[in-house]
Amino acid sequence: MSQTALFVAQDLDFTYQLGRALFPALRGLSVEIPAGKITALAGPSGSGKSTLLHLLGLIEPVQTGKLLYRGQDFKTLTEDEKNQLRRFDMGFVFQQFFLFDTLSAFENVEYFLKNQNLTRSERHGRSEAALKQVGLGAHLNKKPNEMSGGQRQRVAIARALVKNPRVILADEPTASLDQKTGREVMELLKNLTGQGTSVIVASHDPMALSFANYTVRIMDGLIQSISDADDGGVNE
Amino acid sequence: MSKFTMLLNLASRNLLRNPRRTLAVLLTVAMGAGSLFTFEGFNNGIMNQYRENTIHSRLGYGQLNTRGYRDKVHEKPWEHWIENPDPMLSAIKQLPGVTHVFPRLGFYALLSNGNVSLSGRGQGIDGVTEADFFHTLNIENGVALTDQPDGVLLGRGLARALNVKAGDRITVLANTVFGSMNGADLTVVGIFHTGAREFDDLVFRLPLKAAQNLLDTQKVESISLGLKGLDDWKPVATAIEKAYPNIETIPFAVLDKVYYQNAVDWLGQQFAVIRIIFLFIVVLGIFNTISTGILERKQEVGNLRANGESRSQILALFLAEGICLGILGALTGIALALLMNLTLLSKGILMPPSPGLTRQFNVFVELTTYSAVKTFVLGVVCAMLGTLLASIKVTRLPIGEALRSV
Repeated sequence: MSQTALFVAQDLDFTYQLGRALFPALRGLSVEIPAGKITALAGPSGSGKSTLLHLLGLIEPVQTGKLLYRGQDFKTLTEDEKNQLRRFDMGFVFQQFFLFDTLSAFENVEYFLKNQNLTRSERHGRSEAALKQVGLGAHLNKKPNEMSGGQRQRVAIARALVKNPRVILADEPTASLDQKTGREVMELLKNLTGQGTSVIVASHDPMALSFANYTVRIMDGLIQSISDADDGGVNE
Repeated sequence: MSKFTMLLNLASRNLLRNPRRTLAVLLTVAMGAGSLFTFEGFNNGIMNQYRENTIHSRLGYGQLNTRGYRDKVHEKPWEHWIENPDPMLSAIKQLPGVTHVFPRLGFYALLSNGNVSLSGRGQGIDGVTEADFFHTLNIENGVALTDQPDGVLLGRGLARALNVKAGDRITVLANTVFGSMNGADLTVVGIFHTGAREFDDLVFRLPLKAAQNLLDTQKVESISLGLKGLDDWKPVATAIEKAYPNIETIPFAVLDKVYYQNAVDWLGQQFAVIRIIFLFIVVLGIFNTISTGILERKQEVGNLRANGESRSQILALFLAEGICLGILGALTGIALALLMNLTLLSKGILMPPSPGLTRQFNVFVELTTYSAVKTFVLGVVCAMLGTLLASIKVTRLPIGEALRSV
């Protein structure tokens, strides 16, 4: 295992079961994902990139194989330990934003700090800072239905980064956005890596993928190729 | 905001996300709570009406006898009657809470109108005092027995059997305490009915003095009590038994166990069963409406879980929403019930004769603070239970499955 690997996946298999039908999504996939970079999980629909992202974010359970996060084996974690990792180490951004329509942008962000044992003023300060960081300093009190798609996605990113997570996992973050807004969102995510946060994006959008400095291409549940822009090209 | 207020803030605002559904749940809780509150009030009313009928028709709040008198049939009952009652009557009347004392003398006698003779149970009473308290003793012909020295008041059934009306004369024959036969010619002053047919077919009343003369005694069989309220019975009974160890105090509920206490117990049990069925329907209604809304929020649950919320925290969010709905719904229901009681139900509900009674009576819905609190708590608990049943499955969904839900 590389010294800088954030995640190490070994022989991961994952199969969805719908009734009696089985749909294999990952077939013995092995990969290392580095820390401090923007990593893209690329591939066509149904390739298994979202499944891998969900496994990394503790959204799906590891069925077979091994998945290590900073050396910790996910299979050995209790439900409480998983919650702690989701709560403090990971931030999730989804294509559909999943904001509370009845709360303001500020309240949407602040809500996810309630488990962090912070004082009221600390929560307020961090929420405001996160929203400013994503360029929404002037829209703190706006409700999601008063915002554009890009602004909503920024709120979702602020919500993820307000926890100061080690890693932000984004599932098709630009799919609901136009090219210009999508680019802004990706720039925002890329900027986070400069502050030490790792970002993993699952996408099939070429524009989004162009921001990655580490790209894992997946096809039919297997690694097709890995390219490290910092290392000058395709590795396998 | 604290963690708790943040949760409440989100929960209360979540109720505005789908106003129509929120209104449906609110109405379910409100209708349930309002109906339950009215039902409790109706129960209170019917029980209180029963109690008032029993107390103010003939028994008073309770009765005093010599100790052990009621436990068996005596060959010579007069030997167990209360001797020299006047000092005791004066002393009891001075007790706090006592408003009336009614010395009584009961005996069996033969009544005759010249053509027909039949037996009845006589009650020698202090007519003036009793007329002041026993207001549910209905006079259907003539007047109440007050100070007429040779008057007699007949139960409806007795009067019909003797074929007499107010103003007619009858003869009452009875054994004196010394075993000889004695008779008195009395004038029917009125005919009464209490609603209890067994009583109305058997009992006649005459002045206590006339009864004592007829039986050739100065004793009284019992003393009934009129009190300020139900709560006065215990202290008054305790004081009397302490002052007169030979005297036994018996509350009206024991005196009329068959028609009062049994009816109250029977109705109480019936109401309890109805209440459970009622609450079950309310919980089911809430569950049905809330579960539709919660099933549509699976993805939201998935997102919350993905971002570190535990199952119990999400359950707490749903429960907080349920509690908010329960509080609002229960308060609305209670307010509606109060409004209905002040308008539509202000004149009471006319009830058919209950078991053992022969007349209709009005029941007023008596809404008490205790019932309001009970209804409020039950309303909130029902809403919580309905929400819990609806949300528990969704919160247990694996995160991935929740996020994939449509």
